[in-house]
Amino acid sequence: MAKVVVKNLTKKFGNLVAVKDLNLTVKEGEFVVLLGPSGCGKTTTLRCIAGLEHPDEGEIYFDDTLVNDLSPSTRNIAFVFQFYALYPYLNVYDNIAFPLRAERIPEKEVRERVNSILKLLKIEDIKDKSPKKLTSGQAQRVALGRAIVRRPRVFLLDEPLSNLDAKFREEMRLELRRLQSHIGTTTIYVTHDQAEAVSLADRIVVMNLGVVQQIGTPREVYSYPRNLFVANFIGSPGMNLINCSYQSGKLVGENGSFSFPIDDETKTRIPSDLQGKRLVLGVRPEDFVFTSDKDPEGIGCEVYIVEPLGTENIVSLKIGESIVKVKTPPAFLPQVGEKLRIKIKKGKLRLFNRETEENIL
Amino acid sequence: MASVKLVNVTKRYGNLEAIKKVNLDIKDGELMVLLGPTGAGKTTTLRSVAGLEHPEEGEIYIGDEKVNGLSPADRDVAFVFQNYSLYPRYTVFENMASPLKARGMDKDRIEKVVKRTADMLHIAHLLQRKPEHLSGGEMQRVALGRALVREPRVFLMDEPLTNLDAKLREEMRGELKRLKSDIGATFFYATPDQAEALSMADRIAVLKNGKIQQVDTPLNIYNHPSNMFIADFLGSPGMNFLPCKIEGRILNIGPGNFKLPLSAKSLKKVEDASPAEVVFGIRPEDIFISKERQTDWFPAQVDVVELMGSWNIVSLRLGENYIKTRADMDFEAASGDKVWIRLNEKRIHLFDKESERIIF
Repeated sequence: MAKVVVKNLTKKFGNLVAVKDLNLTVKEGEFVVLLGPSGCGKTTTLRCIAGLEHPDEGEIYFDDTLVNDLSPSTRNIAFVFQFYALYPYLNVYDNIAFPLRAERIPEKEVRERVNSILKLLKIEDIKDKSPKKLTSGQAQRVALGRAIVRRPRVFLLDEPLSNLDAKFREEMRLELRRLQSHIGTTTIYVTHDQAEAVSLADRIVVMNLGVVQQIGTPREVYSYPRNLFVANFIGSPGMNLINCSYQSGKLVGENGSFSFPIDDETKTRIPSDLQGKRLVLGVRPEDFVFTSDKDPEGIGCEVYIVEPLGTENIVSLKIGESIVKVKTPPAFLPQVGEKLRIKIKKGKLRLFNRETEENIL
Repeated sequence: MASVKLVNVTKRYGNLEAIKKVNLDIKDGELMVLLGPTGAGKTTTLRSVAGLEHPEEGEIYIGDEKVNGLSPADRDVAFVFQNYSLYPRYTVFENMASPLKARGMDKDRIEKVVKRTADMLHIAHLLQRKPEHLSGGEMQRVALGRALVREPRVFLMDEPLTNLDAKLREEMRGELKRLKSDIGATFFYATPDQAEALSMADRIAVLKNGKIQQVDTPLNIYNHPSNMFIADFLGSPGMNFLPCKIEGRILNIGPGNFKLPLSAKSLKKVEDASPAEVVFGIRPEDIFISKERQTDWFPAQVDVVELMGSWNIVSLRLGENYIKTRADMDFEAASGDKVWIRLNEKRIHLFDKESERIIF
């Protein structure tokens, strides 16, 4: 296990700056996820850490050793692209033992380590089976076992779950999470899937266009996104973002299409110089509540789309010219066209500067 | 616009029966989702309706017309694929206008129809661009627009959102649903994504191994799945299953983890089904969890907590068994922590272990 420190990393491909001045410290045993859309620089960052790309600027340290000039094979990392390719002619046990035997580790130790992996992944009963006889869930677990049996100093995973269908992805995510709490290897994990990031990470590094947008725990980036990009990218659906301005204690929509009253407590936290500025109101879909006609904090809206999802519904509402998405419990299924009133839960209103896109409140 | 009807449709490829005696009634103006895992026979079913495949058995009707012998062009259906094939040298406008031009529609009319459709799909600002300058979501909308301008009797859509990223998929899902209610067309829509099916469909037909498993509204399928496959396939995560024994009027779940009394009504259903063995089922959201001890709640051990944004999936250990439940965002616990759980007794299910069919 090792600590990984990345200092001022910049990587260019010709004129394209793939990663720009990235700084990151991954603590020993920490699970850090690099998250962002395609082209954000997450994979390039990972490949620099692995030694598969050479940074144009900056340093990479494993513990206190500068590894910039070390080849990938001497960095003692495990780089995993995907979990499924097993050797078809080897049984489960031999598949997992393969990387150890390749390193000429004594057979006694191989046996101990493979057995402990089999136990950890709850696949002891299939150890003699051929990969062809496995269900896809079992095969995934075996592949995972093979990846972790080497006990590298650092695990580097590049979208390992992206080719799996939804059910297996959920299952493997759970396995990974469980595993992390048992073996605690330093892990850097790349994905474009925000749900994967939020559920797996100790900390998330949100990236866009080669630049780090925010580094924080899943709860921090979810509840306190630092800018509009993070607010929208994290969450399913993302945070509702509505253009507005602040006018005498109210948030007023474009062309006066709505006017959200603000409670007194929130007012005290609003910076004094916001009057008249171009702002964006941010509210998570679960942070709206429906309210009565008499509630002075409520505003009118019209049901635009209703999407039931079993455990909850996503209701799109028209507020003036804007559409917001609201999560509702299964039993609350309004009709399209129905007129309702909503308000924002206390403490859940976020404000952003429309020019800089940075969070204000 | 028209209804679609499949009667005992079977399609074979060599020895493989891709779909088996499929019966389905899609009403005029309905959005029917065909839901199933890869290889279930969704695409074959859709292609059979389009006339791209010829089933060995059964009849297909569009409106009142039997279409088995008709060529794809004569069926007046529009097919939208996962891979939207736009003409690369044409602008968005020309792409969308092409089916109308082919039909010999006059220029002014074409312009009107294309503009109106582009407005509806929020792509009016893209009309002069070429496909190479469009994002995936924009291309998908153009492909959809090209299908829409034709005003076909039926829209056939084969995983049209699968290649889009998660954000866009979510957005398009809502847009499509809204569009459908605005234009009131008949949609037959295939997807492997249960969330897409639940959120968009008027009714869902669940397909597995070429056979229709259940046809019903999203809520009925979610709340009353007809078998264990559907119970697991729908929901995120799917339904929990636990081994279970019936002891007189008591369900011994686990066994040994907890006991629940059976209502007279449920008991009657068990007697009617008289299964040799049963499996207990409950959805994650129907399990309540508490970190404090509560009377009459059952003890369990935390295995893994996965934050999902506004909520958590909590995996729990019950002796030998594992179950998943949902908890608020604020719920925090470490692996091994002791917690207490209660089941929503009104929403428990029992399945016949052998046939996997639902008992209640």
